[in-house]
Amino acid sequence: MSQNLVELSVNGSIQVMWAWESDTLLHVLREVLGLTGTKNGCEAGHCGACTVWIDGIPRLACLTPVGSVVNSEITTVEGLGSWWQERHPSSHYHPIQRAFVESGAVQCGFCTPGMLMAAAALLRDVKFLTDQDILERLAGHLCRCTGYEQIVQAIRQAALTEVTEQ
Amino acid sequence: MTRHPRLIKPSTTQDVTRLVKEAESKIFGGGTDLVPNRTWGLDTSGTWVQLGTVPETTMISIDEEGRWLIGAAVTLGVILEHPKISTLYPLLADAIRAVATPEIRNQATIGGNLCLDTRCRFRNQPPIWRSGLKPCFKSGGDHCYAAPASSRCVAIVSSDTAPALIALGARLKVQSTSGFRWIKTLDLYSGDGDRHLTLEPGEWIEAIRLPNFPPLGVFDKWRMRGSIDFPEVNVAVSVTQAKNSRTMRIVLGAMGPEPVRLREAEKLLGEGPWDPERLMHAVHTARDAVHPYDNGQIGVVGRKGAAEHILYRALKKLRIMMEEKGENA
Repeated sequence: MSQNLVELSVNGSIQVMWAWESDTLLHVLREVLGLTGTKNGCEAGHCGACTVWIDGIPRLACLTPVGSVVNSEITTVEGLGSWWQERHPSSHYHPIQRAFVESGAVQCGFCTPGMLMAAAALLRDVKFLTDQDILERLAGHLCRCTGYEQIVQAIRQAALTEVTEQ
Repeated sequence: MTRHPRLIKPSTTQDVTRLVKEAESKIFGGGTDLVPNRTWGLDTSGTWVQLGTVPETTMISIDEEGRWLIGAAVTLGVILEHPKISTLYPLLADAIRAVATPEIRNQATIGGNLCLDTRCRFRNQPPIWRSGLKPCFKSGGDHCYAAPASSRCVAIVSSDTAPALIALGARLKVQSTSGFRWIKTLDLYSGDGDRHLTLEPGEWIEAIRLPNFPPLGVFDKWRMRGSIDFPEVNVAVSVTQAKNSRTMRIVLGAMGPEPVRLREAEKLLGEGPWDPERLMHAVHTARDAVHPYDNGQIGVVGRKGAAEHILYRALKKLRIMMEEKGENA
């Protein structure tokens, strides 16, 4: 058995590389493509730090073999700002990124990329958020610094920003 | 050293059957169980057969008799978002919501959840931890650390959807080289934690068929980490009222290598009015019906106590639902 030529669409650009099809998407993003924004936490699906969008759906890169997503569009935290800017040319940061900074929702920052991808998908999918929506959507995300209150506050703030801007 | 299984994407059910018959091959649904097991050296299969490319396994449809069919490779997230399934089968929807987290539900499939590999705290550990012990039954050895007197593996089936589908009376479409057959969900499990499914080489689950007239039901689960965790115990109860009779299904999951139906409790609650005494009596029958071992996160006494607790909670909720529907409990 040998490595295969794998073609991936990551953050809007096509990337071609040699990889094992059963390699995790997390390994390929970080170790092959150098996109280290997606974090390697537990490699078992417990922590949510490696959340990326696969065809717009938040999923865990550590549980996804790269061969299973070759025809999908992958968005990582590095591409979140561009994704937002395509829809809102006035800013190249997603409101959730600005809200995390303004609310002090980042301490060590390790869980932040996963939190951002989950929260951005939530803001995109649900127009009028409740706290229950936020807590349910963040159920799979661990913050070792336990700064959950600021994180929830940041998502509330981003939801308001989005509503105001539209 | 990490193994690198082949990932094959067949396009027909015949191709899947042929590939699954090969030695060392496994069905790949969403990978949420297989991939971490591979990472920890627990899964040593050489080929992963990805179901998501076979149309029959990715559809939610209705058969000619009006029964809903859910393809085995449909993700749990898609089932929850389906406009009809959640409304018609709230028992199944509750069980799915209890599975892991939104991200994992977006990836995990219902067939994968049914076939989830068994878990044990003496085996589901990093390789360096396991290297301190001689192999157990499931690792190719001849010993069980959870039950030293046992002659077979007692690892736990942790599926949340299995008890719900058993309580609903769902059937599974099993494909094989000789065609397909329908089996009851409970018949999928062998009772041996090492080879916990009754499927033979070459057999695989294509779809799940739900009943036309779903019974009234409740699902409940006990776990250590409320936001994401495998069950220490889960329960699904359902009731079908006819004019002069009542059919009960009470299923406890995650107590051992297979879900368990509490036949005595079903008989008790099917026969008479649900007064507090009868309810408690039915709940206490669980003590003799299930025999967990010390291989979960909490001890045996804790798991048995939790089982009785959530069974009582589920039955009380079911009684309220029956009263709201104007049925006599």
